[in-house]
This record gives sequence, structure tokens and C-alpha cells, in this order.
Amino acid sequence: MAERARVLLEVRGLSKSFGGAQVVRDCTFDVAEGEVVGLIGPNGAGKSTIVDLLTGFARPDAGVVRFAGGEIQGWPPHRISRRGLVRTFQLPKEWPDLTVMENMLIAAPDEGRETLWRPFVAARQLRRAEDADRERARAILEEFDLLTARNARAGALSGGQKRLLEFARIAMARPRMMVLDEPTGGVNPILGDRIGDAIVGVAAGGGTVMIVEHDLAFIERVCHSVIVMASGTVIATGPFSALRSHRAVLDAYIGGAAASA
Amino acid sequence: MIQYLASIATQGCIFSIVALGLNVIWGWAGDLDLAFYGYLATGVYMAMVTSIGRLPPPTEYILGWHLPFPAAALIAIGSVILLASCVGAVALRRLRAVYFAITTLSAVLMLQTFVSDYTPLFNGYNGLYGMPQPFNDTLRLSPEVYPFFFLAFCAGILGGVFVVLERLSASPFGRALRAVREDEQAAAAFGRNVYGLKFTAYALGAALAGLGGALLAASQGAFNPAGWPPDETLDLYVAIFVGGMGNPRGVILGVFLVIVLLQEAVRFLPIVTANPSFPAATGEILIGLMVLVVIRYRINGLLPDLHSTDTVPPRRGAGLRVERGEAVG
Repeated sequence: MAERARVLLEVRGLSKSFGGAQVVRDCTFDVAEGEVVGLIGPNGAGKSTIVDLLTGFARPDAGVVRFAGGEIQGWPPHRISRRGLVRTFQLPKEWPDLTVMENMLIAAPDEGRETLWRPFVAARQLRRAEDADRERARAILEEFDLLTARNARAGALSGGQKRLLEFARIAMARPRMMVLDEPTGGVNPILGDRIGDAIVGVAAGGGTVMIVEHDLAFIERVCHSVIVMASGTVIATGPFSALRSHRAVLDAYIGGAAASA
Repeated sequence: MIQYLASIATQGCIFSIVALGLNVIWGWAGDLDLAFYGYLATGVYMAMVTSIGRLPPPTEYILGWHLPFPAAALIAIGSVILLASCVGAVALRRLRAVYFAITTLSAVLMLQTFVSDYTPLFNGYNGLYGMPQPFNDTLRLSPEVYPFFFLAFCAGILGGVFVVLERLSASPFGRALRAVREDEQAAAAFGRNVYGLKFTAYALGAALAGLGGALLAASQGAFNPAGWPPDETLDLYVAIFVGGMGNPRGVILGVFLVIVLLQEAVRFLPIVTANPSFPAATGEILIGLMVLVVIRYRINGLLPDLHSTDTVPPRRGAGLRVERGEAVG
């Protein structure tokens, strides 16, 4: 499907150094609309830096990121997010002193509700929009067993629940493309499967997803294709099954000696 | 006695307005602003130089207009917003937490030195005097009655400010500011312009300091640099912390407890020492004890910040799978 579908995200020659260390080197890949792509690679391969570079949390030294037809490299995070490319974080970043429901409502696109004068003009319209968001938030929270905790402080949730809230928030945002940084870390297998199902559901609804994940079984189950990185650069792309026997991938994961043995 | 009560109630109303402004900056947006007393002072000075006309030399200062109080107050608010925008444009862009606090502290110390030493601005160390009583050239109330009118006026303005801030507090704007306070990276990831939100909060908070400054000018009549030591800002922080950070009701309660009740009550302490600073020092000690008690027993303050509670039972069967991945851009 990836060959025929329209390319949504186009990355060309992306590079980034921190101090003297080049963490990302000349990375090039495409993500098609409606596709679920896994971004895998050993620790230190540069996956998280790629996520930061795509979403504006780090500025690339060189290269082009084209999203939905326009170049977005070097934009601030909030502009990229508003364009429809939204990320989650490897360590959940809930707003701890706000309730779970408030976390969900902030994740919804703001649509001009947050101006100073908004609660004073057309207040009823504002309330109606908020009620619709709450209704949607309840449905998503129920999906992830968080509904009963909706009035609790998000900071009081367990580690696994925070991870679920991280995903629930991005589902609430309904972005054109979501970038998930280790979505199932610390989540029990059943809820992990539910996140997997939800990702498949997002793609079925036309959404695009990129997943950074160490759980390769999860990647195989959920992703249409995989991008493999090692020491800062893309070493292979393609469907998961084709990469099983890919020499460079095996080298990167198991080490050159083991693979040739 | 009743005159005295009216006067401290007036102070309470004015400082409530000021503390509500700081609460927007600190309680909602989470910025530890130490320049805040500078905005209050700027409000006082600007209201005075646009109200008192020309005083005889050697007093020197800018403008020297003789405007009615509402116009003077608007100019005071506008000037303070302008000043805060300059400080905020520098300090809010990248600096956070302690770096932001240091920068704003430097700003207020620079301002105080400048105002004290550059006499042509606001008459330097000697300050200004002769602020007319608002509206009294038309009302012509007697000196016994006027304080009660002015108290009602300040209370009315406080009421208006309170209603507006209660609305804002529960609005998407207030919620977004708190999200920025709690984790600004996550807020940016969900499309929030962190700098824009912080800047708006900063200007709004400073505007309330300007409004409070204009009222303070009218209530005191005179003002000089000794009247605004930057460490007074800390009393406002204590009031907000004790009352309930973020919650406008809590802030007003905190001001009346910490700034009005405690500091006035120590005046009535029996004199146990000849040291003239004994009552004030006792007040500071009591404030410190109060902070400790609140930290130990009620960390969120007497009236903690309110969170919306969702009580509506969910509709079944509206699960995530029916969600559509629509574009937001």
C-alpha cells in the first residue's frame, strides 16, 4: 500500500550533531498517508533524535522535512503540531496537577477557544464545544480503563496508566500523523494489545502513525513497514518480513561477528 | 476606629487586586516573577503624574497632567503593560524557573535605582505627593464620609476583577496556562504557543498591578521609592500560597489574612520592648510560621485551586475504533 498511497512525510538528508557527536547522519525516508511505520534500531541509533527533529523539539543542522506538502524543518513545535504532526514522549509527560479529564481536554485541538475574551463572548457556544470534547474524551478513556480515574490528578496515576493517558491524549488530538515514542513501555500485555488495536484503528480511519519501539513483536503486528536505523543513519526500509534476513539489520542488532557466524 | 477599619479594608481590596494579578503570572502560568512590585510602583507613579498637575519646584517629574481618575488609571495600566511587555519579551522567551526569577529581580532593582536617582522622571528619592481624591471634586464628600465611598469604589472594582478572573480561571485559557505551568514541552507538543500564553498571562497580571497601583496612589496620596522595596513582593507570594495558589477566592482570603489581618494585628501587641521595629518584626515572624504551618498541613493552601469534576455518566459503545483520523491542520 505504501507505494501507491500519497506521501505525507518526506525526509531528505536530515542531519544533527550535539557538540562533536553526529547523532543523525543524512537520513532519508518517506511515510505514506494512512501507513503505520515502525522506527527501530539499537540503543543510540538516533531514533529519539529523529522524533525531536520531525516535531520541532530539535532543529536540524541540515536536511528537509516536508509534511503535507510544505517544508516544516526548523519550525517551533506548536506550529508543527497545529499542522497535524503530533508526538508523544518516551517518558510520559502528563500535566500532573490537572485531572485526567483536563489532560484530555487540553490535548484536543484548541480551535481558538483559549483566547482571553472567549469565555465572555459566545459562552454557550464554548460550553457546547467543551461538552462535545468531554463526551469524546470519556469514550477514549473508557477504551483504556481510565474512565473511573477521570477526575483524579494525572500525577497520581501509576506508571502504566500514565503511558495509557499519553496515548489517550494523542487519540484525543486526532492528528493527521502521530509519532509515538515507545507507546507500550511499562504497560501490561493486555492493555499493550489494546494500544496496538487502537493504532490499527487509527490507520483504518485514515490516520498515519510512526512508532519508535523496542518490542519487535509489537512492531511486526502493527506496522506496515519498518525503518531501521543504526549509528545515526537509515540502514534499511521495507516490510518487517523482508528485513528478517537483511544482512545490515542483523549486523546492527546482533553485531557483525554473531551474524556472520 | 471605624475610619481605621475602612482604611485597612481599602488596603485589603487594593492588595487583593494586585495579588490576583500576580496569581495569573505565578498561580496559573507558573512564573516566579520578582519584578512584580515594580509594576505596582509604576502604576502608582503614572497615576500620580497624570493627576497631580504641576507641583511647585524643586519637585520635578514628567507630564504633570491633571486628568480625571479613570483616565489616569487607564494610562497607568497602559504604561505598566508596556513595561511588562519589555521585561516579558526578554525574560519569558527562554528563561525558566530560577533564571527567570533572577532576571526579573534584576529588572526591578534597575527600575528602582533609576527611579530613585533620575529625578526628572518621578522626583527621585523624595517622591510625589498631592494625589487628589478620585471623583471628590464633583461629589464633594466630607473627609469623614469620603473613605467609605472610596472603600466601596475599591470593593466594586475588586468584585469586577474577581468575576472576570473566576471566569478565566475555569476557561480553556486558564486551563492552557496551567498545562504550560505543569509541562510546557507537552503543551507545545499539543499545539500550544508556550511563549504566547505566558506573555499574555504576564501582561494581564501586570495590568492588574497597574490598576492596583492607580488605586493605591489615590488611597495614599503620596509615594516614594522607600514605599516599594522589592521584597514586599514576597508578602504577595505568601498571601497567594497561604490562600491557595491559582484559586482567586483563595488569593483574596490570603491577602486579608496575611497582608491585612496579621500585619495590623501586631500593632495591638503589648509593648514588651523599646525597640520600635518590634511589631513589624513580630508580623514577619508570624508570616513565616504561617507558611510553615501551611506547608506542613495544607500544601495546596486554605482554598486549593479548583478542578472541574466530570460527573456525566459516559455513553456506552462510543469507543475509539469509531474515531476518524481527521486532519487538524
